[in-house]
Amino acid sequence: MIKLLIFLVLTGYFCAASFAEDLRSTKTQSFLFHAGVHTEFYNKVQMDSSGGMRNFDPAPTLGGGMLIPMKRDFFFLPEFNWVLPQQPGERILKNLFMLRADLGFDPVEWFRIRLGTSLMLLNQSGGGGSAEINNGNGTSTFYYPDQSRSSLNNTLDLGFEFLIHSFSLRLQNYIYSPLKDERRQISYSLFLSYYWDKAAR
Amino acid sequence: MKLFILGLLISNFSYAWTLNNNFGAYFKDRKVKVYVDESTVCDNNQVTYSELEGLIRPAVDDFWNKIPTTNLNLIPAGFSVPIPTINQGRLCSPTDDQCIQEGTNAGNDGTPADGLIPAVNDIVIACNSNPLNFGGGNVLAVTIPNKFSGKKIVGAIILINDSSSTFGSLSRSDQIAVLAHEIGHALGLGHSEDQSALMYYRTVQLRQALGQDDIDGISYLYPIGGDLYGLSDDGIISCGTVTSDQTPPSDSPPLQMGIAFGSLIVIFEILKLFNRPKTRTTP
Repeated sequence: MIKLLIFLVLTGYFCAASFAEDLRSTKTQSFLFHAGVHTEFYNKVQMDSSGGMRNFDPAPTLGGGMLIPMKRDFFFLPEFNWVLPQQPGERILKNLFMLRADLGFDPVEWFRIRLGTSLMLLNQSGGGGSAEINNGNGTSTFYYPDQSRSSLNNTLDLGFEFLIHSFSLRLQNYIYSPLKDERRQISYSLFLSYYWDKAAR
Repeated sequence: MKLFILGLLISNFSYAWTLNNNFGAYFKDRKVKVYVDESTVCDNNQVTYSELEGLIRPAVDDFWNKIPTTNLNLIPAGFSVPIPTINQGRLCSPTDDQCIQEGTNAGNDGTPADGLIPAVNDIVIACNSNPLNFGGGNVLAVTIPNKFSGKKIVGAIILINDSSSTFGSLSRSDQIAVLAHEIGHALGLGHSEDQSALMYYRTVQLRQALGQDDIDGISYLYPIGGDLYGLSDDGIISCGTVTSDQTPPSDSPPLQMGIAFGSLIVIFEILKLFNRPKTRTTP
């Protein structure tokens, strides 16, 4: 797991840095740092016994990335996000990592549209063990996972970002399986971002 | 900051999915067929085998086949070859020696219908009126994966309790949810303590979709190795998707990462061409 994380972060960083070097122009690059919440599979997950579906999940998310200016009002925005570990019942640890890249366009000064893609890595690991859980008219022993396994998905992403000085508010959507109707799901994040401009240092 | 910490706590409070065996068994093949036994009789529940077969597609398509983070594909496959003991025989776990002994002895009196239900391939659904399989009239159904290859599941049997009429008294949507729940057991999942989960041990007021527990559990058992925008498991693009003979992907970066970064590099080389300042050569 740690090796994979290091691989993702370093590769992302070096790719972005390399591109930034290549694309350097009179405009300045920025780094961005963001925090927010992430909702997985909007309106497709049951959240209570009466049929209510989940529209919002306050799963905390942190991330960082770069803004690399390109021609006219276009930008390249690579970033890495981490939905903080969720530990259901202290038995299973769940992590979601996103390695993302967007093409951004500013139609007006205060608004940015992002179109991009993500590599989503969902990792779950458990320490094993068992529990007595209701089963029929009695209880039975059920088991917790004892391995670490990961799912990998590519998503098609669309984001809308409102810019206020060095800050921004962003709605970022991720479309899973966009080409396959029956498995298509949409997740989204809400981010508050801070743009740190190297030139302003 | 307080809100952020509160969010952290709220998001962590809920679920804990489980497995129904201690070795994390999962189906060897990611394409699993779901059959109804052609000879099954559901007299007490007043459900015909055709009606039972009609419940399978919504049970798999409205629940398990919707998850993009798994490469599991359940296929409603119609009717299976009849099993003589399916309607009254004993269904035993391969490790339950006492049950197997009792079932074998019951079949020795010349009535094969009372014997042991044999192991099957894929998932077979049927009604069964032997009360020894259920432990109570209010138990709607039982499921046992009863054929293994090493630690992988090859086949499982789902029996609907026909010693009572409880299943037949449910609404169609509840019957679908019960079948979907039992298919979850056939796939290797255990019960969840979260009421929002399909794998909760009893039916709930209204079942619309899987809960987060179910999604996480099935994604752990059948993780997708790299879904290129949903195309991978159609066979159109095959880029390192886990095959049936491999263990699920571990922590080594798969081919998809290389493809993703390779694509980014290609896109950027193209963008660089666009971005290159125009140079004019002077004569």
